[in-house]
Amino acid sequence: MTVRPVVRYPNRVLKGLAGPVGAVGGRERQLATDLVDTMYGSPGCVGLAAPQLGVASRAFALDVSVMKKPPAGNHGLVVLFDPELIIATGSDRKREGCMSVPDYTCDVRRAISVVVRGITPEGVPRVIEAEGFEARAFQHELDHLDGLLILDRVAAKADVFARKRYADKGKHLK
Amino acid sequence: MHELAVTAIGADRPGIVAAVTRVLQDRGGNLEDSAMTILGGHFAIVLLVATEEDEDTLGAALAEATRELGLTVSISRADGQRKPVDATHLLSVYGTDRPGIVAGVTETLAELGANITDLETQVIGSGDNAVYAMVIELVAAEEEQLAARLRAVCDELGVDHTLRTIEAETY
Repeated sequence: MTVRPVVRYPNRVLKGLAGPVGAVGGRERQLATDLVDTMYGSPGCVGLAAPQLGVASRAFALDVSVMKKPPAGNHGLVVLFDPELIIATGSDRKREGCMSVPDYTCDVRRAISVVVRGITPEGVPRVIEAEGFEARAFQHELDHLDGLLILDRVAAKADVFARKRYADKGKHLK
Repeated sequence: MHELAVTAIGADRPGIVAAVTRVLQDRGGNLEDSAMTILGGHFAIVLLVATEEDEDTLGAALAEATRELGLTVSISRADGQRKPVDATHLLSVYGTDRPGIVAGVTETLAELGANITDLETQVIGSGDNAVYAMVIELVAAEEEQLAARLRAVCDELGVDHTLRTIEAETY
């Protein structure tokens, strides 16, 4: 098992457009193995995209079943090459972190349900329907292939709500 | 009733908000908008209070009640019209920490008449890996010119940025 170092911002590979993988061969399968090993070898990590290993290729691994409370209906380990987001519906805001932007979390708005299509390491096309947290993980990894980080996706500032709470509290004064 | 602006800042510890708001409540003040947060090891409070008291009286009461917490309190009249401000854009700027990011970006906004409604900055990590991140909410009338000028200034500063429109959400 090879846990490779995870690349951190401001490394430029994280801000570029990753290139298509095309035909899956030995090198691509090795990349898949490295993604999976590094993901499982990194505590709290539920997904990893090739640019995070310094590889500007459209590939990622994810597995949300490793969470303490695995989301119902999740697909376990998924590795896809040249993935595409086909359908995205709904909208929901939740906090996300990223191994390439450590010590930072942002509220990010994502679709609630997605359909993603890609090629498995065995070279087989696969279509996956994901919901909720798993759908969020797919969108986070897809973003990495387009050079987008959570800092590019920050939802409207969360503290608007915090402030409102304080303001409401004031109504009880007097 | 009039409004007073109160700021208080001091080394962070539990009880700061409770101590300040208790004084306001006991003296018949009504807490309006406020922002309270940790900045580094300090806790900072900025708030508006509707009150019958004048700033000197309330300021003295606050100073007295929070002496033990070592807060620096300031208070001033905040008469002004209240108008709803809806931010139109969200701008995130981030890059390797270096001086001049905030000044450079906000100068550009000012030159274009874009009004900042909220700004928060944070240093992520430390040492050579330190990343400076800034999130700004702003009101801008014209987007194309803003986008072009921001691209130019962010290139010059060597930082990444994203400008997006804020979509109103109704549930």
